[in-house]
Amino acid sequence: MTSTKNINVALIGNPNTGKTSVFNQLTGLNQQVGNYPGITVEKKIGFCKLPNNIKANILDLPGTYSLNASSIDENVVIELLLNKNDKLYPDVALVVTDVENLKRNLLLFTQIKDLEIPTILVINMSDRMAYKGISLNIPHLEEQLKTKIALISSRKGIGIEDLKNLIVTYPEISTEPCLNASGIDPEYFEQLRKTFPNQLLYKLWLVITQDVNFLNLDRNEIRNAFTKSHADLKRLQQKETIKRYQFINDVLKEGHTIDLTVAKDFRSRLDRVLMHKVWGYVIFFAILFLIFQSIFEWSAMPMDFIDETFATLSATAAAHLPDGVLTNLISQGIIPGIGGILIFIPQIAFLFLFISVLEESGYMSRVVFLMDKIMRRFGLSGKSVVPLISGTACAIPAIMATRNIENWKERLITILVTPFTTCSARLPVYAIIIALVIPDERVFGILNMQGLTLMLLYLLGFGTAIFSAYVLNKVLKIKGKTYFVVEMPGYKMPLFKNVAINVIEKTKAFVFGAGKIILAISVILWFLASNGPGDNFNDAERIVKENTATPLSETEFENAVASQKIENSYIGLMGKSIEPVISPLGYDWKIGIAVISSFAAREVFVGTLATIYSVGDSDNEDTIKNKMQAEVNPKTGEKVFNFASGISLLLFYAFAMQCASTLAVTKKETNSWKWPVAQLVFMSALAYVVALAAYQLLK
Amino acid sequence: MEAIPLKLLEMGCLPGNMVELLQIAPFGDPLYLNINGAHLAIRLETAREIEVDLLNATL
Repeated sequence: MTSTKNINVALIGNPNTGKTSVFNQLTGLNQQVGNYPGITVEKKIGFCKLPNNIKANILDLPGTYSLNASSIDENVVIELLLNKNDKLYPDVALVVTDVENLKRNLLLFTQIKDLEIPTILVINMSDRMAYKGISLNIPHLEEQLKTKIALISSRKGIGIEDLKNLIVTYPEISTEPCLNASGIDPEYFEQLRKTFPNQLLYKLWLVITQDVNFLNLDRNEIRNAFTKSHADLKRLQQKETIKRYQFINDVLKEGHTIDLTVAKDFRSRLDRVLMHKVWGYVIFFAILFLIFQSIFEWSAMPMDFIDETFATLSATAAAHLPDGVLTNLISQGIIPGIGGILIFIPQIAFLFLFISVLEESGYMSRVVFLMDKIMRRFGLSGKSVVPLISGTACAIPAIMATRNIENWKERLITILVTPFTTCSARLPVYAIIIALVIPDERVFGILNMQGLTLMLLYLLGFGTAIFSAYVLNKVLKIKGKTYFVVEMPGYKMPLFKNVAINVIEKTKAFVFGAGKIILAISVILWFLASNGPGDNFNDAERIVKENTATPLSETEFENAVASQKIENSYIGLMGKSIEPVISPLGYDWKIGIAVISSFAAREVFVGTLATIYSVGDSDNEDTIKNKMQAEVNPKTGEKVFNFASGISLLLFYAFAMQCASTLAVTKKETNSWKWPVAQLVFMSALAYVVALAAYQLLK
Repeated sequence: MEAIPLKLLEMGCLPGNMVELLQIAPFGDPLYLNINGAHLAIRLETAREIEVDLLNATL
């Protein structure tokens, strides 16, 4: 144990510079992903042992093109760098750049230097230099940029040790700015300097021009002292950017040369195919098809395995633990609850696997380019494609993925319609209802009816999302900045390590985030189902005995008591009380219970039905399915799960907003209760009306 | 200059730079440009605000 405190190292850089690869190289799997307080931006911290027994906290900050923030991810970077009191305030900053895009990447570097933080310039992807005919004059660059340079290749693992050695020397690294940005309006900046002599000039400028929280300085105070119109400030920011680029150009004229005869262009040939007006779309839809196929094909086995394992576990726990409330809680509440979360892991992991491969390779930007014009007709952006695809795993990360949409209206519409895409939580609901009401037959000899129904439900989800976007686009009167800039990165082979870490982190976040809610609901549900008011519940055994004329076998008796109990438990009474509302949709009170309990999370539906129909020890899906199949409505004598009520249920679950976590994320991302409430009301009303119409037409 | 977003400047689209039109998306919008080594896609409405001189029409 050493008493010395860990040093803080911040990794800063443009998107597509391999910053995350550098992070993974420095920290290995020794990382923690959390959230910044109050916002949903990912906070990634890793640990690294440096030479001389120095230990470092490595903070991977969100990718940003400059310190002029246009999203909350970018805001995080500025707020940290402006706040010396933050316990993660860096002792040294590593600005990661791509050798092929050095000019553009250096813009951010010059801004960080103005903050007078010891800064190391990390030039990544050095393995591409020979291939691209690039040569660098490192001593010249170090001198002009007033920094130390580490030339590395995070993909090949070259130069990482040298970088670690360089980090250790951080107290000797220059904190001097490399250009004088205040030259854009000397008079204005001189005045600022005089009024706030103790503050860093560039910090003041950042506080004036952006929307950041900066504890020690009151922005209004500065703004009132130095009024400049919004347009004037913008013009100054433009001037500043151009001045920085002039400096960078001058530096690179000497320090960075490209022999164009060497450079081979693989990118343009691939671009012409992947963004072709016919082949581009064919390839995109083929990839989508492949993703969905493999998610279902490959996930089926591990999902069955998880399902069976937890069923066995429940039964074992019930058999071996002493009888009592605690055992019931464990075997009927907690174990099925955990199982209900873990069952999603295979699908979520596969989906994130594909998404991170597509993003790492550079293909996602091409899809954005191809789809932008089409999506815009519906009030969306080309950048909405990524959230809509991610939404098939889970709407929560999908809504967070809308942050790079610059136009607020397009972003808001994307957030509002994303929950219509068929997320993995709907799957178990669809699976059991389809199995009950759609015959397992083939049409045209090849297509399986059940599979076809599932595919139609996916298309319905996308279709409704797009259609709602179209309506919202007409209804919402929002004017916003309407620009759209996408960087088209070079193509790269995805790195296994990066993809693997990403999949693991995202899956973990889902399991622990959504998992807590699902588990809590399972436990509450178990409590409400195993307790009830009055004699009807507490004296169930006596009542059953008195009301049956013929003697029952032991199992029959237990079943009768159990159904008497569930009917009169708290949850049973709740189900009964909403029966008048849901019976026009074709549901009985038991389905009503499942609908209520899945209000906060859809996947609870199956678990609830399992609880309601699980009598004795039959806790596996097949017997539950058989039970549901046999369930008859006592009034009409019809099967409860018939074609009409089944379709009605499928449609209800396709449209209804039954996910508390999604509402919470919408609230956070839109910073208002208005939008999640609108989402909830609109989606639920649509679900009710469509399910009602379907049942009334089909019955 | 007013209508040009700051982000575009920051991503390397600066006055005086050479612009090469690499591709036009299938429905005529957006445009895929190489601006002095920066590969960017922007919409027509933004591109309209950028003034260019034709360097060599035969290329």
